[in-house]
Amino acid sequence: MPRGKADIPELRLEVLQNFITQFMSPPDLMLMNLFGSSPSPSSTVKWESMRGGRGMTPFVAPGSPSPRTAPFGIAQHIAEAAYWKEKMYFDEEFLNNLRKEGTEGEYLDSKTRLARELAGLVNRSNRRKEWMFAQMIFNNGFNYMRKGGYMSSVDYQIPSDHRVTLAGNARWGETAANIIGDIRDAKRKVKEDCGGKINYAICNSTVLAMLADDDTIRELLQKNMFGEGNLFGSGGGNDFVEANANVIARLLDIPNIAVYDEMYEIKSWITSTLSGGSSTWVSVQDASDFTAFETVRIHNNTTGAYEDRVILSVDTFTNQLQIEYPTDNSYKAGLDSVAMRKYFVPDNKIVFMSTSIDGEAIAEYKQAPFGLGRQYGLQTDKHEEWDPEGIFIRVRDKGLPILYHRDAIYSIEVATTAAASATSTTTTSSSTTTTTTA
Amino acid sequence: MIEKIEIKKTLKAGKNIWEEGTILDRKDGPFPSDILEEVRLNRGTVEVIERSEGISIGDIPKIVVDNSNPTKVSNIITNSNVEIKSQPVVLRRRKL
Repeated sequence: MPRGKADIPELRLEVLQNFITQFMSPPDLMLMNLFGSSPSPSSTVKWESMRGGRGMTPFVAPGSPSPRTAPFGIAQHIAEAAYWKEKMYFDEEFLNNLRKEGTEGEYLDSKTRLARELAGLVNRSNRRKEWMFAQMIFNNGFNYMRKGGYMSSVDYQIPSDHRVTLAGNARWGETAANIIGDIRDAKRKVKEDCGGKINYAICNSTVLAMLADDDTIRELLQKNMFGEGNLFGSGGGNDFVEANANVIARLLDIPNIAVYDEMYEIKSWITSTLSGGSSTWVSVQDASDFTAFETVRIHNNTTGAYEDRVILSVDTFTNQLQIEYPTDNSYKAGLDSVAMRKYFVPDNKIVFMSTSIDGEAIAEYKQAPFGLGRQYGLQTDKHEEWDPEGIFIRVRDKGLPILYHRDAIYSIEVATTAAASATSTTTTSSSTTTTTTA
Repeated sequence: MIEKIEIKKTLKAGKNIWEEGTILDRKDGPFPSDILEEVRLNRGTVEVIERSEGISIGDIPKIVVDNSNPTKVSNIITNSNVEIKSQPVVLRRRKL
């Protein structure tokens, strides 16, 4: 009768890797599947990006030498690949259940649990990759940890006139809003700057509601105008907003309007006692992924009760969150926790892009080598513990999204989020921040 | 009074674009209403980088009051943003 963990079929490496590959392309994550990927020769990723590039050969006098030319608008970039990984522990009790004979129910439960936990690990890893793409497209860059604990920032250098914020009453839903005019300006800007035709617009359902509720768009979509009267209630509507984005896409002549409501969740333990009614700073284990003006839920894990507060600022150096006003109840260090949920696509932005210019994709994911075996892509491995007996399963990945055509993306901040109305300033202090791109 | 405003994020209102990094100066003309609205909302898109401490006498347009007509003087006071604690006896005095 087998006793060693090596005899447990579900924990063999090839089986684990098989579990992983089954979840390789989760259907709900859109951005990471929008562009292709290729391996980088080292973890230092180098790439060239382009602006414009529609030159024309000059006239020359017959018999004279050809003038020398070079590509215009080329910039070279260099950045260290981002690395992310985590491990999960399965104890001896779980392992025994996995191989207990004569108890088919428990055996199947353990297998199911192993599959579920592995799927969870893979999804967490893929969400990090998705997050990087979302930050590239919507925020022009992001911060990540480098060797030695240094925080780096990658700046994709999307031109500032391709990242506009609507001012005053021109915000969507306000008195001077001109949604169709703003979208025309986006199309023209991208076309003039790089020659691309906008074929993708990405927003979440909050912005879709603004589009669907706009009087001008509604009027144009009436049956006696250019529409078929099927903006609402004809099937194909969004999960939250009943409007059909494809109807708006046809009106605006944009082949794809992707309404993307996928979220990610950040959890962290509270590390010092939070006194009810007095403290507005919450100390947490890791504050790096929390963002200002989002809602944080503070959980009492003993009673199951919770309180919601808006984060006013995040201090990544001291790992503290400043909340808008004190909690009613007290929370214990190491026992209670905080959690923040956030959409990959911000509530107040819409991005227009041409996904390819002259047949070339505007962005790509560069896989970087990691580990002793120079592996590429999502990998899993295991490590056995002697006492207490158990096993760690680890999932890791390394890479970086890169942008080849910086002016093929045009983003509009169309509104102020409700939480942003809470007036304050963000103090993200870190003495080790460096910029790695040219 | 606001003297200079720096644009922190590229702003768009209709066809008007204010690029990130631009500094608007009151001396070049009145600030656009959309920019002043952004100042009021305080959402990080603009930053007031210079204010004047107070209003100098030279900045205030001169108002010539003809005190020969008490009704006219009274109307000016009523329509202006001036609060008079005591009765404007001097302004109501007729020409000798």
